[in-house]
Amino acid sequence: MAGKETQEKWISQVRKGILEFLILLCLKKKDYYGYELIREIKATVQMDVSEGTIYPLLNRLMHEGIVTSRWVDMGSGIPRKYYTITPEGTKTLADMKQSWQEISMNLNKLMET
Amino acid sequence: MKDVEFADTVTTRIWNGYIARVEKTLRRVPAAKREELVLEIKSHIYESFQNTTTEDEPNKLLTVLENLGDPEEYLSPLIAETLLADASHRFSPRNLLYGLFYNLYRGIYNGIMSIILFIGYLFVAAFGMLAFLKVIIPGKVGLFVNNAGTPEETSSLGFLFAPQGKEILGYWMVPIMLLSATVLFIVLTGILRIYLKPKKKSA
Repeated sequence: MAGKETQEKWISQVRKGILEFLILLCLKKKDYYGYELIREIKATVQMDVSEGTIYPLLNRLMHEGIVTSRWVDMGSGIPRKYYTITPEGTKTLADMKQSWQEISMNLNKLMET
Repeated sequence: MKDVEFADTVTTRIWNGYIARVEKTLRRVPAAKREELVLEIKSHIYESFQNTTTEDEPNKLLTVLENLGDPEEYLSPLIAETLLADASHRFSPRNLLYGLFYNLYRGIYNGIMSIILFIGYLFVAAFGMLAFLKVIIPGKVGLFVNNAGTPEETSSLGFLFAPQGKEILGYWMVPIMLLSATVLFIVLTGILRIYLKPKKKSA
C-alpha cells in the first residue's frame, strides 16, 4: 500500500534524524562504548540502521569537541573505546532539547486542531 | 594489539575478510586514524560476538557482521569528512580532491541518472509526436536518406522544413515510431524503478 510505504520511509527518516540527539542523551547519563551505545539506542527507538552507522557520527561529534573518547583495556580481549560528553556537548544537548520541545509543542498544537 | 582468536578456521577467514574490507575502505584515511577506527570496529565485533549466544561460531560471526553492516556503506560519510578535515589541516590537495570526490560522487551519480532519464523520456515524446505528424504532414516527416552520401548531408529522421534526399519509410513510419516510443518507455521506466528502489539498510 502506498500510504504505508510513505509512513515507513518517514519514520525511518525521523529516527535517523534524531540519532545525534539520542547519542548525547545517552552519554549524558553515563559513558558508553560504541557497541553498548548503539544497542541502547536501538532498544529505545526501533531503529533499522546498521550498527556501524554510529561510528561516523561519533567521529564527527569528537571532531567538533562535543564528545571525547578514551581507550580502556579490558584485560582480556580487545580494549573498549569509551565516549564522554564534554561541557560543550552538554550545552549542545541543552539547545537540542529546547529545539525538540519547541517542535513537539507546536506539533501538538497542530494535531489538536 | 592481539587479534581475536577463533577455534574454527572458517570463522577466522570470515573475520579476516571483513577486516580486510574495513582496511580497504579506509585506505585513504591517515594511518593513525585508520588504525584507531579498525581497532574500534574490531572491538565492536568482539563485544557483539560475546553478547550473541545462539548458533555455532561461523554463523554467530556472520550475524554480528550483518548487524554491523557493510563497511563500504556505513564508513562512507566518515571518509569524506576525515579527508576534508585532514586536507584543510595539512593542505594536502590529494586528500582534498579525494574527499570532495567522495562527497560529490552521489550527487553526480544522481545528476547523470536524471539527465539520462530526462533525455530518454524526451525521445519517447518525440517519437510519439513524429507518428502523429506523419499522418498530418506526410511530406515533411520521415526518414530521409541522402543519395549523394556526402558527410554534410547525412540521413535525417524527423520533421524537416526542407527535406532532402529520399524518404524511405512511408506510412510504416507511424507503427515504427509508436513501437520505438513504447519500447523506450518500458526500458526507461524499468531503469527508473531499479534506480528508485531503496537500498537495504543504507545509512
